[in-house]
Amino acid sequence: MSALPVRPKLDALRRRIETLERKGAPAARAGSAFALGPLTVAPGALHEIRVFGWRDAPAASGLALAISGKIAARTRKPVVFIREPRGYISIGRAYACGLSSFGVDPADIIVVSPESAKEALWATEEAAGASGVGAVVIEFLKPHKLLDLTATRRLQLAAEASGTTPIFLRSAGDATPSAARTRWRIAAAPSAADSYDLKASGNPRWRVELEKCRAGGRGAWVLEWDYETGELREAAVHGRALPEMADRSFEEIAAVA
Amino acid sequence: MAVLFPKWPTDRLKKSQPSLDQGGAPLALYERAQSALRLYALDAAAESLGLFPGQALADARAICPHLVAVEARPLEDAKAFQKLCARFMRYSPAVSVQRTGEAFVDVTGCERLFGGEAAILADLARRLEAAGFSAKIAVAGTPGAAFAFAAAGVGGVIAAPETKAALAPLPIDVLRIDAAVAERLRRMGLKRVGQLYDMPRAPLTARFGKELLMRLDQALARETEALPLLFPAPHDYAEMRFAEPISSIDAAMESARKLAGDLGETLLKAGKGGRRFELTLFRVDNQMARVSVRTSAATNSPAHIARLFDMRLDGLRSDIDAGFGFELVRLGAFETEKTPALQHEAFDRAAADAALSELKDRLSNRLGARRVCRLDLKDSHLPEHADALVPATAPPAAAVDADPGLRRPVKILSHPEEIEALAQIPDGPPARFSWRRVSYRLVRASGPERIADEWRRQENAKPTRDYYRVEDEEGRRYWIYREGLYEREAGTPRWFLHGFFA
Repeated sequence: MSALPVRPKLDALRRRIETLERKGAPAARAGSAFALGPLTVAPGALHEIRVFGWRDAPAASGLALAISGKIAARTRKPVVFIREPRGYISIGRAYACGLSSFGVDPADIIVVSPESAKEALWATEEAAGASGVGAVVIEFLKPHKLLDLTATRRLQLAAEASGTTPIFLRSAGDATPSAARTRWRIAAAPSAADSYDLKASGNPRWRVELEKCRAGGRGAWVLEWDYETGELREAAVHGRALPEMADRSFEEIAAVA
Repeated sequence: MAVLFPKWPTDRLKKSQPSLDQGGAPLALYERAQSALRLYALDAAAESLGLFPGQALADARAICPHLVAVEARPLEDAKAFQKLCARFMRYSPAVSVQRTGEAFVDVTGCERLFGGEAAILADLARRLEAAGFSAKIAVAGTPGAAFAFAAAGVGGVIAAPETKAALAPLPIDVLRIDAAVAERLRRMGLKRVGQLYDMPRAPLTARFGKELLMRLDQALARETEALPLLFPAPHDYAEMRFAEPISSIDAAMESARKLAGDLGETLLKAGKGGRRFELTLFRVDNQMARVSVRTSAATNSPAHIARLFDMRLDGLRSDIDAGFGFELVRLGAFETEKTPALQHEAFDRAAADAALSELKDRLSNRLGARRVCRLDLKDSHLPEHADALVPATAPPAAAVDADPGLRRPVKILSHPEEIEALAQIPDGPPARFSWRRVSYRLVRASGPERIADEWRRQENAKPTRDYYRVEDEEGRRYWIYREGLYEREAGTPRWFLHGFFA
């Protein structure tokens, strides 16, 4: 019995499935993946940032801003911000004067304030499917039944077709499965020391865990945003021990929500 | 033709709440003006008692204890009035409303369809009376003259050559001038319109402003007056007539798609694009439904226009009543402007820009323009006024550069929230604070950054604020401030949380 003729047939079938699945999506339009410190950001794919409770949400938006700012700079396309629909703890709105410190030009921002989760999801899908958009940042910290595997899969497909990069901010306590290509878990970390003022907080830092990644590879880092160079890099941590991720239990989230 | 409704607010209310009409008690509407309740509109019975608009409600009640007083709703009045005036389109498409209670209908050329101007007037008067509205109607050569005759109670049709003579004995108030100007004219002894005819023009303008002579000239057809129409007719439009009326929204959507194709082609050929599109559905029984969409950039792309209407109509499914069906569907383009012919597919950049503005349109038309915003930097050093959410479809504002040296939070609370802070020294940063019932221990702080209110606001200026950037044990960073300087501005300063750093 010769196994030889099976091989080309299998390859042909694989190729066919691939074309069926991708529907010939122009992957080249999305541009190639780029490294952001230890993170790899693939355009045209859905990324998820899981946040430890709403108190860490501003920190997460900072990281999302840093990533989307880089995408906006590479693609020269604006960033669409989709705010959390009403009914969740308010932590305010994006502030134009604070965006520039994360390398985002306020003129490149569109802020959408949907009224309901349904509207938010619709707007996200519209934005993710529009080829004129660089990145879409969606805040959706409150778990919602509409936001299931199907919804995230649709987002992923829309992003693949158009080349935009949706970044989803979700709660770490949300156990709903998702079709995101990568999933990070993040929490705020004590900032770097300011070189001029010992009492002041310096560059912002995050504790980031790569939980899931299509390309393989997991890891946990402390990332630092350098205000001066506008770069994200792995922080050199010495001295103080960082609090463990597990310390911020889900009970805290449940208690507040 | 001018149609005036001197008692519109009370008439409308009586019609919507018939119980008010039954007792025959005088009815008055009042409004809140500088913490006092003042009369706003009166019905005939109340007026005959000597009450007048602007009178305090308490005084009116003292004069007439059985007065029925209801709070005025000018916005609803205006809306209902527009709705009523839309029905005047049975006589002519040129209907104009300038103020609530005053409507103009240009019946030039339409009188032959009804058998003369007098016939139109009689028909309208009959209909309005049957509906229970007291109206004064007059037809004259100019809107100004028609208004004057209607206001003076000289009804009927006044032919153009007789206008001047007929206007002369009327009081000057009928000229649509400011009440203060009319009062001053009366004090000068100028009580009739005719007295103004032979006055020298220059002194009149110097004394009473331009408006007086402008109104007089408009009434006497020495100056043309273009009234803004209630429903302006589009210059570019496409329409579709149905022999058999269509009654489903889906059919209307289908026809909108076809019309979008036709209109897009017309606009493209003319090198134009529209910023607003209106779909008018004419019902068999003379009713109309209008749906309009707005775009952020002038467009003539059929697919884009069709998609916007698809989404709008889909959302309005339950609001549009097809009745016996629509017999005519018209799609008109408004606010048209020249658009450069774009080779959409040839350049990626242009295609991306077009895709972006189409996205903005879709989002704003479905969610509402106020929900899709851009962030504009503003020229103010007060943190809450330094930026603003502006609808993404609004025209761009002058660019303001941000100060890159300032460290500002990524998130800001629209209303700073009061926190309980514990500072080690009165003028220093707090060591801990509690916000939303949770306490935070702070390990780092920098500041203060002192921000005082803007200098031009001398009166009721807000207290000076000292902003601190603080960090709690777990690395979350906050922007908090102390309101008021110790001992100088406030006895016990209060602390607020204003924003979050990443």
